[in-house]
Amino acid sequence: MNRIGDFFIVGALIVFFKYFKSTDVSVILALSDYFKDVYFDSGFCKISVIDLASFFIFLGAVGKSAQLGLHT
Amino acid sequence: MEGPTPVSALIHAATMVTAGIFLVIRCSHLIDLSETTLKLMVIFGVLTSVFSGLIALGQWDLKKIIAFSTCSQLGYMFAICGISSYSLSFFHLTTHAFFKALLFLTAGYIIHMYSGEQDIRKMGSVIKLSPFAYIMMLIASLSLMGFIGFSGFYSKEALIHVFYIKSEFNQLF
Repeated sequence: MNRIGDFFIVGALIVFFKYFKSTDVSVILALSDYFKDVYFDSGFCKISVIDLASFFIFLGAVGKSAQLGLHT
Repeated sequence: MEGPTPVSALIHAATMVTAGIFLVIRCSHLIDLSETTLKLMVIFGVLTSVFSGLIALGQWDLKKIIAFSTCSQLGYMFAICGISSYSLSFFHLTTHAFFKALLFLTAGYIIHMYSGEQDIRKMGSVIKLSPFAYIMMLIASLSLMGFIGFSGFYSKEALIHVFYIKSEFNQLF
């Protein structure tokens, strides 16, 4: 179940690299205030970049910390 | 996540499973901007805390009971992250690492004392065989349940206190 969480971390890194142009944590945290109104358009739904990235990080943490749904 | 007891003490208590909590705390500024994720974190954390505690009630393996107790405490830390009290979450992570490591190492000592037996139904009178192991297990368990004066009291009480006051003001969601 750990590996399923790792895929979400990779997804979060892809989002960070596409929009923040960096995977450095200090850079991302410094820039995150400017991305409130930036949206990721996937064709049928629009979702905020902040929402998408934090959702991926949340799911990665769920996989890593063995929370409900991804526990052994 | 099976392993020898010192390995369990390291990965379950301090380093591996708490890496997810640390990731959330490290990215707290980003996650604070997303209301939906915070709500999901409270729901997931509370549900995990309750259900892992219930699963631990039905186990007979000594190490599995402690491992599910770790899952339950991780649920607490996750839920308190969801109402933006990240410093409390990190405080509970630290105190939990100490008393859970003590609990795991004592469990390994007791399992060796019974020559590899892990079933708690086949154990008994540890206080006569080794009073040291008994006292150490008692100290770690009292800290885990948040007895006054132990480190678990200061972190867990503050954590539950914040939850209680926030729910009184209807600020949880």
